Amino acid sequence: MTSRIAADVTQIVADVLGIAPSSLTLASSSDAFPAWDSVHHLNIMMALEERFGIAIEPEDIERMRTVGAIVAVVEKHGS
Amino acid sequence: MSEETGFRAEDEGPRAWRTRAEAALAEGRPLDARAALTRLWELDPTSATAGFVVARFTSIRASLSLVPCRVYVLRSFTVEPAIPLLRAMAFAAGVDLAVGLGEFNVFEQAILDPASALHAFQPDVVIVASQTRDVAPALWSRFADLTAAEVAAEIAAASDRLASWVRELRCRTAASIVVHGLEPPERAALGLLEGSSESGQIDAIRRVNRAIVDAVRACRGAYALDTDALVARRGRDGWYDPKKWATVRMPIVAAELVHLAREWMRFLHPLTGRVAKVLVCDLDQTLWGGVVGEDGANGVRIGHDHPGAAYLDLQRAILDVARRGVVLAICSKNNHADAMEVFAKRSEMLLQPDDFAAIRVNWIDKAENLRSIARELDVGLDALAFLDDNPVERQSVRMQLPEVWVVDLPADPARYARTLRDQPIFERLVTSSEDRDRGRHYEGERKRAELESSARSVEDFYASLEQRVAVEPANAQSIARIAQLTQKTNQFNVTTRRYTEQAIEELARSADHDVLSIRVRDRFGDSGLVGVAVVEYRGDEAAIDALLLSCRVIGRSVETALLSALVDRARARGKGSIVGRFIPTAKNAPARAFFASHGFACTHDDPDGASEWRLPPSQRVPYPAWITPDPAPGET
Repeated sequence: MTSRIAADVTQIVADVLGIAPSSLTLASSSDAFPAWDSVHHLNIMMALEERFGIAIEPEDIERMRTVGAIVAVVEKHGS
Repeated sequence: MSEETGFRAEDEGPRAWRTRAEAALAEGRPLDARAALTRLWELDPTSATAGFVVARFTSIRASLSLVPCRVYVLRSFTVEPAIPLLRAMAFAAGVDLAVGLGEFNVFEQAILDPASALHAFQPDVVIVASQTRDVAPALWSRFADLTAAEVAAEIAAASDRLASWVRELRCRTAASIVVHGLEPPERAALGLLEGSSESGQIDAIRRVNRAIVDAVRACRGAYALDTDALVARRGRDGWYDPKKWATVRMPIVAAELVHLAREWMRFLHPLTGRVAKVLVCDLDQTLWGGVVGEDGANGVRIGHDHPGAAYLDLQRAILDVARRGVVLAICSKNNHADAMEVFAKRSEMLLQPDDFAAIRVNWIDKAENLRSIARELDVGLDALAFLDDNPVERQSVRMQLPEVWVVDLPADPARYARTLRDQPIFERLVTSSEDRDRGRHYEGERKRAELESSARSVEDFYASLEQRVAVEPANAQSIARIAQLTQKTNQFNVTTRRYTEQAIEELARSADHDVLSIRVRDRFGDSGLVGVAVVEYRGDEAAIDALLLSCRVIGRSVETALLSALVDRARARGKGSIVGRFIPTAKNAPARAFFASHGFACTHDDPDGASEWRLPPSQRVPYPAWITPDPAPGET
């Protein structure tokens, strides 16, 4: 289950940033990707909400700056 | 996808189309990549897929012929996450969109300052997206505190402000303008009293919206977007996201953003000319339920009760689309006589054979029939939309004729009519009387064809048509139709320059230009305004910037009458030399010989294929003897 969500999240982040999923790991952080600016961060949030049918809390949005952190929040909604 | 065999792909999900797109990109097949990306987008129109589709389309845009369009959004809320959705949608529709965004709540400065980012962007379309809470804050947040006089004052203030934006934009840009209407609140401040009060909160907001409609109606090229209808269609309770509004000024739920983008796209289809001109309908299980070959004319389902009602609803929707100027055609695998028997015997049928300009009821492959319909109606394949309940036929057409717009009908016939009404390719922002009479035009065309085949010579045929034409300068009544013709005429068009209504209006006012139109009628009917010429006078020359003729009247020497009048007007202004340009496109071969056949000499050949032509000062273009000039109304 976890790996499935991780794969989906990686794909979504890669798609929104317009890059290949293979260039991302769970440790990848927004600082390392110039394209991952505040606009794209919001776009990632909207894409996650749309795909997983969740509502991300405002408090979580700023914390979700790595792929791994995003996976953790999405999993929290799933449980 | 031409190298694929079979049509299994229809049953495959977005993942398969993504893989196909990647493969086509890796192997340098941009057209196949385009088809795969377009299908991927249709099957999975989500934000993540939008990012993928936009990135991949961007990498191949240079090898595709896409219509460029620049959109600037003036806004009072965060629209950024909707932009990738809009751009993906546009790419899938053949439009390469550049989008610029204004600062939050900056309207007057952007509109009035000629050096603003808005004007520097040189938009083709300006979208004005404001919210009630920003332009009518008192009506939105403290309506229950207001006296009747205060409510009236707030309505007037918001109406004046919005109307002035429209007016000032119109004066300062040639762009088309799309103005969001204001949205009513989720829950009215007065509660139940809203329904029985003289002027409630929702009523007050509707009055402002009415003022927006009045403002856009008073300007050319300005249109109102009905926000209330959009939100109501999707469901008010599921539309808003108050937490996102409070944190990032994004008021709309993530999953609904695509519907905002769709609403914008409804305008962008007609504004970019990416519309279908012909709707080609299947018969069995589409216009009626059942199969006439098996059930017989009396056995097929059509009528006011279930299950025939769904098909009747679709027929009504098809008729509504036809009233906007979309031409209808039939493409059905059946015995011709069986199909016609349904039209003859079933009085419930709304559509009649006369409503269709071309009919193909046979056992030939549908792609082949679509090609022959396009030839008969003299339109490109990209002007055809294909409506068929059978997913295999749809996929077959998609693969063989990727230019054709294929409508994805849902499995449930009860949803057919809505699906058709939702297609942005049938949207029109203006309709002319020519559009409404198009059905009659094709009837006249059949009679003309009969006459032509019986005529002894071409001149004989021309003379027997008894054509009367009126050439006149553009006026307030004709500007919309003139702009429409420049935007959609592809074949008989020497330069294929597109003009907005605003541009035509400006040229018509200019002392250095003439915008001429030609109306044609003959013994079979009135074809209306079917030709346009734009002439620029400079020095002792008259340069023909545009000259085009609707395909309705190609081949009847009407172009000679237009050119003859144009030359006479130029000479009356003392312009000796008449200069024409021919710019070749994939579609305008019918206009290639135009200048040569009217006595122009080629003076220049560009390496890119364009050519320049001149009519010597001593030469005229004789008016065709078989055409009678109509006195142009308004000119004596």
